[in-house]
Amino acid sequence: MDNDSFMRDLVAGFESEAKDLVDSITQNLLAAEKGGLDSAGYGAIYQKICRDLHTLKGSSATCGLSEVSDLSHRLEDVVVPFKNGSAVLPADSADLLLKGIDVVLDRVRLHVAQAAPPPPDPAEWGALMAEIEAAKAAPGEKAPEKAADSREAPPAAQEETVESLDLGENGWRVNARQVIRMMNEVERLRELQLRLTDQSRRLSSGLQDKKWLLDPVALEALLFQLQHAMIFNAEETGNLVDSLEEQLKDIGMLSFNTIAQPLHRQVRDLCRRFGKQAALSVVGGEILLDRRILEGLKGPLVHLVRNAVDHGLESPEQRDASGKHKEGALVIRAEQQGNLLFLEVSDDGRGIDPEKIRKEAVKRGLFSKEELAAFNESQLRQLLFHSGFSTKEEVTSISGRGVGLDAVKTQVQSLKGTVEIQSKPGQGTRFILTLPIELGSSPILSVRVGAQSFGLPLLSVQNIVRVHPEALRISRENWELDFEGRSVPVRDLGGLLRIRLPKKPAAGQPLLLMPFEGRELALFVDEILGDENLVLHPLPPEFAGVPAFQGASLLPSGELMLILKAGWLARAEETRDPFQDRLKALVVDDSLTARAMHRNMLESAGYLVHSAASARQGLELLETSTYDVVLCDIGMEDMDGLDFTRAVKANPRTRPIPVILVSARDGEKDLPDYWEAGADAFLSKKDCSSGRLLAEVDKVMKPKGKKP
Amino acid sequence: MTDPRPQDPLMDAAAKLLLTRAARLREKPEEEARDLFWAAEFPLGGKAYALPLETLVACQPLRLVTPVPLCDPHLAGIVRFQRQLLSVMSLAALVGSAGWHRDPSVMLILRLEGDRPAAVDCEEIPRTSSLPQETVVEARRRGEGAAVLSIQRPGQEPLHLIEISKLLSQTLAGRSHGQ
Repeated sequence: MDNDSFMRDLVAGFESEAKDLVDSITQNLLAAEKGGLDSAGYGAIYQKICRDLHTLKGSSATCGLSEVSDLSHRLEDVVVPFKNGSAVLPADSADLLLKGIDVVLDRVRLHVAQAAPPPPDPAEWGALMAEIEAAKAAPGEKAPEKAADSREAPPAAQEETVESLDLGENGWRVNARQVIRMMNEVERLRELQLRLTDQSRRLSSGLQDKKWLLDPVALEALLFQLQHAMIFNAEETGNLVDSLEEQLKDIGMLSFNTIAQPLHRQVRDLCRRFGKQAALSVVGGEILLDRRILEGLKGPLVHLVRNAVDHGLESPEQRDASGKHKEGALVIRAEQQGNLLFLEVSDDGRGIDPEKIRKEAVKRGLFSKEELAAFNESQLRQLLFHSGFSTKEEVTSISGRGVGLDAVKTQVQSLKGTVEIQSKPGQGTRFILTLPIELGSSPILSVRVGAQSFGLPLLSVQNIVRVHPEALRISRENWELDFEGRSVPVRDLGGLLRIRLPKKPAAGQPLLLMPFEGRELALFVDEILGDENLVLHPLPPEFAGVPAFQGASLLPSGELMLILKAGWLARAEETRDPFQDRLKALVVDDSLTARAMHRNMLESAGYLVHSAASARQGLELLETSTYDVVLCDIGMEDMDGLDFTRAVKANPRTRPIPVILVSARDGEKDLPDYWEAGADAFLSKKDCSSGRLLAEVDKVMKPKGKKP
Repeated sequence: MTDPRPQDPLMDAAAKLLLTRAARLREKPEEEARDLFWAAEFPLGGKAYALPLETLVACQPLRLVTPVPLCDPHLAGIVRFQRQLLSVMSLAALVGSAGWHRDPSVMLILRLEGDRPAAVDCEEIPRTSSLPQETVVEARRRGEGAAVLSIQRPGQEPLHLIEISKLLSQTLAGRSHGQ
């Protein structure tokens, strides 16, 4: 390696060290400026700042970055006078030092990007040096006029602290311990591969010896050995995959603090600019998140924090007058539930005035006053996400142009997430971002409803109980469970998902107790299938309008299983089914297309449609639900449409339900068979246009006097 | 240098066939090839439909589709393809077909705008067909934004060319408008 290459590698390696040092210096400068420490606390903080600046000076000199080393040295001189005292760091000095370390980091990054970067602009560099010299001469006094100007309009680098944060796009830092652990796992994988190859070879040679086939005892012994080996191998493979997944998480994930901590600086700079006071608290900063998620969240977080300071928080005088603490409270809270991240950005400011939103929406011609009268406050707040929408009368360089919230929504949607706003005028505003976290697996409880299996985040299920009929009682048409002295509403998952009419739980069937936001729900399913750690994949955008699912997971069989949202289940139990008074149709067809087409046609005519992919499923649905009409395909595997019709007509309870048989064949010659089976009508799929189908349905239902 | 592989009469015949085909293709003037619009043609409800061949990524059996409750009726479910989850849509429901002759057993994986894949069902494996480029341009001009263009073909039944991205956005707009 030549000397130039060596130096470039050295500088590239120094960048992350410089960033860590600058982060540490920033945090300590903000703490020193905030005050409220004892003399030992101040002493420790100033000592640490000096030490970090000193390290920055030494390391940059080693890398040949002379101007960075010189600037670090001068900044250290500014801090030294404070080291032996117990004074709060004056805001002007904090401004200067923060500006200085921004320049340090900018220069380091420039050296990484270019082998021979241009020298600093002499005028700007000279002005910065003059400010530093003035500060050194009179520590704690007001800086020269130029510094005050720069405070009025902080340089762009200060505003972009979070957005320009490098989360490792130019390479991830992996330490030796992580590499060694992964190498060990690769060794274990190689051993496993050798063992599998050896077992496979022994099995092949064993099978060539035909005596196994003639000796059942020997064959059983061979199969037993094989089973034993497969169980052992599967266990070891599982352990290896788990271990590698953990290690990849370790490398590919960073704490939420990586993007949340720099916001302290942002809040401080904005408050300085707008004459406001705010304290930012970060809760859940230690949560580890995929770097890609953090990268996507940087922009939205910056927008929301800017909005909170500029729009949300009142001036100290206004807050004082309204009985609030002069210093506003900003809270960023991150919480992980299963594969979901909930991120809240809240302030205790003036809140969002719904009247202002109404006026702005009318002014922009989005809706008329009459239309807006029907909007509730939550719907009104959704208008804030409309492009260009802003209720702020005065446009500042930070907000008021209405470009922030629509960008936040777009960015969050691109991460497959959602944004919700809660606000109370005079009390504050809360933005809630919900995002799926893609990396890693989540414990999922698999359940069966009808013929389909669904997953639930295991963490959302508190308990599983079996139905005891004496513990169930009916209240206002709904079932309730008496559980440990509490009355818990019971809901049928099949009914909530509208794949069948809600059923009454039978004795012994499983009920999942799910607490959510202070409420409880007892969810009734047909069967518990088990629990597994599964990787969750977000659904394609075509399903964005379906709020019931957070994604799908791949099962070992190669099939996909939909994973439900606990929050949706809690809310869905309150939603009255808008179709419950409609006529109900059952479509029995093993063709996806036929089910989709018939559902499309019947729903457009006002029917509630349930579908079954086989005759047996159709009969199961008919056992527990009442339908007004059944459409059934003739050619199905296992049990055909004729046998299905015979079964329906043989049951006194289902006999009155009209059955229309459909087939892709013309079937004219087979009509006598259809009538013999009990069918009420026949329709060829070739003629299944909406009009023809609905005309047939009308015809068979006319004798019963029913209309959707 | 001699070819070490043993002589195989079947392989020889295949090689000859490929050479003849290649020669035939070379004979076609490049301009002519450029002037053709290639489509994947298939029957749907007794009519001839087609998708631009460039939008077709793959063709596979219609199976392992997981239905999604509460979704729009034109959405048949989801399927996994090359480590991605795709929507499977009913083409007959999307185009508003009057019926269908065979229950679809084929799934076409398509590339939508923005390189995003999605799947539709189909009665049978499509065959490639070509149209003069200018006919398609003219149909698009006459269609003025229509998602299904009816193209007349001399001596053949009309071809209904589906502009899939347009069809999906019109379906979505229709649904949200309807809501």
